[in-house]
Amino acid sequence: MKIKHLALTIAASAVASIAVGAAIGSVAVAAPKHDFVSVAEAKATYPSVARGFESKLPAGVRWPESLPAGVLDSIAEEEADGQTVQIERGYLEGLAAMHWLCSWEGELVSATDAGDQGRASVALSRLAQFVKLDWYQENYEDPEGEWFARVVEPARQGDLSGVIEDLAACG
Amino acid sequence: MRSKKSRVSLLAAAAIATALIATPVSAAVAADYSISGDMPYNTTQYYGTFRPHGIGSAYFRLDSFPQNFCGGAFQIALRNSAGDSSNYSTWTSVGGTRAFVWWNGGTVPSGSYAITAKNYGAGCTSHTVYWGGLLTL
Repeated sequence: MKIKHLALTIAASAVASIAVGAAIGSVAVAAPKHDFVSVAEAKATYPSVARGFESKLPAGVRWPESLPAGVLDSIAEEEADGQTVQIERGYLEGLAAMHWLCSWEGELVSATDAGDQGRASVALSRLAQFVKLDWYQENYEDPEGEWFARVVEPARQGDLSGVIEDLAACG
Repeated sequence: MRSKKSRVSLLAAAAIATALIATPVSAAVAADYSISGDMPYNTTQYYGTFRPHGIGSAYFRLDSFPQNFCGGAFQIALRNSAGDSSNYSTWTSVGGTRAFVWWNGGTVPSGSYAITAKNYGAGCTSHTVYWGGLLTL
């Protein structure tokens, strides 16, 4: 009787151990927590998210009133295919940051083309500040500093090829 | 008067310098990123982290996805700062080849890119699955 009880106890302990191990294993592979919003919420909040971005745009440039056309088109395609679309809240801030970046890159190229060294200097200074932004620190993954080396450092030497290449991706 | 040995050394140095100059910058700065997520079935997710890419190829290797789990498929795409996406990876089922190169023998333009991932064609609608892999930009 005692032996049977002991066997049951050992078996129960083994099951518990396996369960704990499985739990630990699932923790080990758990994905980082992403904070998603619905498409409706993304569309509704993006203008205010953009306007609330931490740094100003060049004179005469406005924050967008809606998500970029490329994003809206892709969402429509996904929903037409029956997919539920989830948008990470940080993606909205990222789109605003990209709008900021593209605007200052455009300002630098425009000012340089116009021979306006004052404007160009300000624009280059703002571009260099990209890597200092809170958004960059939290949401831009670039451990090698590739963006700065490819875009800003050559621009400081008068080579805007990296800026122009980046601008091409701005749409 | 230079010796033959020093001339050879100079030629070798010149050849190495030429090779270094000819090497695309993007090849020297490609970086690997370990990325992952939790995804309900029949869902497309737009992720918020952006990463830089110089001109050249980009790769993704899917390392983790439940094999043949409810028949679900997984796809991933790059999305640029304008919100336009690359072609999606072409996995229609997981368990086979899991590596993917953007895009179709061409190169990915310079810029900053976020990830869009999708999971579709599955019957277990109540399940959320973990995916993970290595992105090379």
